[in-house]
Amino acid sequence: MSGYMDDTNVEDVLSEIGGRLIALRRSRGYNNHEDFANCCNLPPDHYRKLERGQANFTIKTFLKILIAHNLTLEQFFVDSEREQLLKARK
Amino acid sequence: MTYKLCLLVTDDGDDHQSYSEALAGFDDTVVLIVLDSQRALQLLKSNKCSPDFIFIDLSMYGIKINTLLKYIRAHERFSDIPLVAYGDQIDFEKLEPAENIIFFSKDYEYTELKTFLVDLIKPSNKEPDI
Repeated sequence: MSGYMDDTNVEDVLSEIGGRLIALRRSRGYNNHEDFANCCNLPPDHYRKLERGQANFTIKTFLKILIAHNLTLEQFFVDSEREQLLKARK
Repeated sequence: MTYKLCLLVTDDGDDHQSYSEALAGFDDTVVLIVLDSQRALQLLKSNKCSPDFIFIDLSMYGIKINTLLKYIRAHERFSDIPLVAYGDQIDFEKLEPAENIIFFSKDYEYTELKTFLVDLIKPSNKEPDI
C-alpha cells in the first residue's frame, strides 16, 4: 500500500511529531516545555517526552495540545507534511 | 525511609502518566499500577501488597467494582485505607454504599489532580515538590 508506514519508521514519525510540537510551542512564545505543559494542563515530564519523540501518547492528550494551538488534527498533519516537502525540496 | 504505597487500578494510559508524575512529587510515595479490578483483587488477596491509598478508575473496561469494594471493606487491614473512586458521578452513584470512599472526577485537569493529591496525602503540607 502506497504511503503505508511500516514498523521501522514509527520512531521517526514520533520524532517528527515532537519536532513539530516544539516549533509550534516556540511560535506561541513558550520558551520551555514546562510552561506550555502547564498551559495545557498536562504532566510536564510526559509532555517533554512527547516533544522528544520518546513517548507514546493518547488521542486525548494530543487533542489537548492541539486545542491549545487552536489547530485541528488535519491542520497539524497537513502542515507537517508541507514542511517535510519544503525541506526535501531545499 | 518508609514509603507510602499508592495502588492505582486503571487501564487508562493518561491516568498512568498523570498519577505517576503527580505522585512523583512526593518523596515518600511509590505507585503500583494494576490494569484491572480482578488482578487488583488477586493482589490484595495474596497479602503481598499493603497499600496506603487505593485509586480505582470507575470507567475501566470490565470493572467489577462492587466485588472489589466488598473485599476491601470486609478485611480489617484494608478498611481504614482511603479509597478514591474516580470516574463519572453516575458511575459513582452506582456503587454500593461504603465508608471511606472519596470521589474524584475523571474529567480532571492535571493541576486539579495535583491539588487533590496534596490534600489527600499531605493534608498538613500544602506544597510538595511537584
